[in-house]
Amino acid sequence: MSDLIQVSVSGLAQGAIYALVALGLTVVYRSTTVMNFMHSENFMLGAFITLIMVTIWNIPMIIAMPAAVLGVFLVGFIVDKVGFEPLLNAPHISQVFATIAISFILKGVVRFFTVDERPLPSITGSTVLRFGDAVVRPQDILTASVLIVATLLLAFLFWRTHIGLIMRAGTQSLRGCALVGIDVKRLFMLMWGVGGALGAIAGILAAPTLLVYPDMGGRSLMLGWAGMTLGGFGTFPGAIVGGVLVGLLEVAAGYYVSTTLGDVAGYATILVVLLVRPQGIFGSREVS
Amino acid sequence: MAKATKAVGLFLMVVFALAAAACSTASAPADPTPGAAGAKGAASATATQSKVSQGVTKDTIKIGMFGPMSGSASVYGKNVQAVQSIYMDQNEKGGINGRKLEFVVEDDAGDPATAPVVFKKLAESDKVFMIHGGPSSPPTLSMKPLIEASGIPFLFMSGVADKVTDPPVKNLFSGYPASIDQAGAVAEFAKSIGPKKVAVVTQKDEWGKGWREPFVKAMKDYNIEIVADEEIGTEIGDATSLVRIVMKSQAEVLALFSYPQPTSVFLRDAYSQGLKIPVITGSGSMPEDVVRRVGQREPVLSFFSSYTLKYLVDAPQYDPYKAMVAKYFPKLIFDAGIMGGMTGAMANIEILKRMGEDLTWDNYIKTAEGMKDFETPVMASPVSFKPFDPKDPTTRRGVRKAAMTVLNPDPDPKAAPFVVVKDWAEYQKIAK
Repeated sequence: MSDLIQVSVSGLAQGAIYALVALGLTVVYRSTTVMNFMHSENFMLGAFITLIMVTIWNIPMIIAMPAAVLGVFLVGFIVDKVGFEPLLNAPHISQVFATIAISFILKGVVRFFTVDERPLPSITGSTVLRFGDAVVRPQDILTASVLIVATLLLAFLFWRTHIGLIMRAGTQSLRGCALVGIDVKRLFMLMWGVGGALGAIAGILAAPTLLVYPDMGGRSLMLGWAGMTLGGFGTFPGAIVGGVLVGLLEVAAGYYVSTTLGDVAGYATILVVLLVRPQGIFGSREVS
Repeated sequence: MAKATKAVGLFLMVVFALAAAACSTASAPADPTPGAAGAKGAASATATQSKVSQGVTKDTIKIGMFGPMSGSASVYGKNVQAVQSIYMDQNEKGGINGRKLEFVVEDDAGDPATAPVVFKKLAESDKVFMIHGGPSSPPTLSMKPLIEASGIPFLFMSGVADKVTDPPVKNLFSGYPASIDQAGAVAEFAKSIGPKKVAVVTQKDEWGKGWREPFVKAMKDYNIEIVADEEIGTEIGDATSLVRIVMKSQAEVLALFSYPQPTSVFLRDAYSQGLKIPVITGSGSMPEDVVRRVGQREPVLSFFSSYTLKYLVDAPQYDPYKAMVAKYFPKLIFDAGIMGGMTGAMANIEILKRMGEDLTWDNYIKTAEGMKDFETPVMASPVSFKPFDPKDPTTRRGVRKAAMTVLNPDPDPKAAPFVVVKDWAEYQKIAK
């Protein structure tokens, strides 16, 4: 029983990271229909900016973390201006390739300065909490809490604010938005910023575990995709539930079936879902 | 507007193409015998005559180098820089018989799919005289057929996979102990702890297999039961499953063969879960490096790593090398992990010196084979090669000894960061 509790706790902690990644992907996808391959760099930049502030500029973590999120939020604006807005009327595939190119460029820039893996101390320290035989890291509790807060904030933003109303309108009909005078370009810029911020939050929370290095975001991006696919492409509840389930699957498969399977469980999820229920848990089947 | 949009789109497509070419991983074709068919023609020519030395001018000798300068194995890319500093220092001393060493350094990203492309660039496009590369084994393994077919002298830098030198290839030498040799030291240490049950967790690639196979064989020879035999990824965020499996197996010792990142995550999770058994490994992860990653000493106190150097890394004998590395690569942290290729570099310089003016590939091979008991201040073992025997891999393994290292139990910052031990009894004396 204690093994089941431990596997669940660890799976939920991993899943919370993937859910945050998936949320950031969903925000951009819902508004622009672009699969954002540079989201792994939002993840990485959030961690790196925090690392620089804490270890080089000696800024306390409690200030560095939100500052890093704000920084990546602004990076999202730049990505929109440089990579997406010029290609607004280009074929969809060009927009996707643009995100891939930006990903390589950003990673290359960071690699120019360092390729080392560096530790980022956890804001919660290294002490663990014990509940019977189960061990819970305070960092994992923080991650889960942040996921809940981020979900509530997004829900509030989307369903209780004027800007959220505009965002929802944008996801339904860009043409309609433009016809009623909504500045669609500014809307996109905001979405890229919000998506970037969510990626940065995930990266900052994962960094004490993964260590900080230029390639740290790739695996989490793929598992974020897996979560999006499982939960239902483009649905917010789907991103959260899907991400958490992928984390649980990964840890549980590794423990109960095979450690080899644990590593591929997330990727296998993408394939199985696309074959069996392509719309995912919360998605609705398209009518042709 | 439409034209501007198209131009920007085209620009971004070109940037992507260039970036993909520079950083390509999956795009490189996975050819099981990369280039072997095309290179066979060249191989026939080189087999029957001495190749006119490419990469040599009256003033320079061009050496190709490669390693994982990026990616999950990038920690081993630092070995390339440490080796470069040895060569750069030699240039300052006048070079080799009046010729300066010129380098071409490539990034294999630790990816076997990229490696054949890297090899072809160095050997065929840059036309280097010889290649000194491969701090990480999988890319070199992937290149091996091309190395053999081309005939170019190749010095394996500091990777450990046995299959690089087994079966041996005439023009492929290794300047670092293979895992089969180091695994012997690791297995001997495990045996000295006196366990009846051992667990093994191995990275799932050729590098990991290179450690696991001789270790498992040794455990069977010692009649020590292997109660868990699991795999670990090259990059992980959580090791709960593995830790729990090892705990359930009631193993008394764990052999963990993985790169520093998964090793750090595992040790951190093992400590927090309460797994309190000695963890032993090969040369993939050094204790002081793992402490930097984990951020604490406690999870690393019972972590023993294979050690090939002659002295502790902060010994005064290594001060000149520390200064050398600091001069040419000031950001590089000097630790035991980066020193792996240095002995090979010193041996390579000696081989090139002994060749005199006959800078041909055949003469490189002949001169290297004549190297016997060449001592360097870096490795515990001198460098010795032998005339080629297709059935004997040791003819191409120049360095073969190793001991074990562990964090110094004394937490005093003035004390040496780690100690070298031959067996468990010696460690127990220090730990008391």
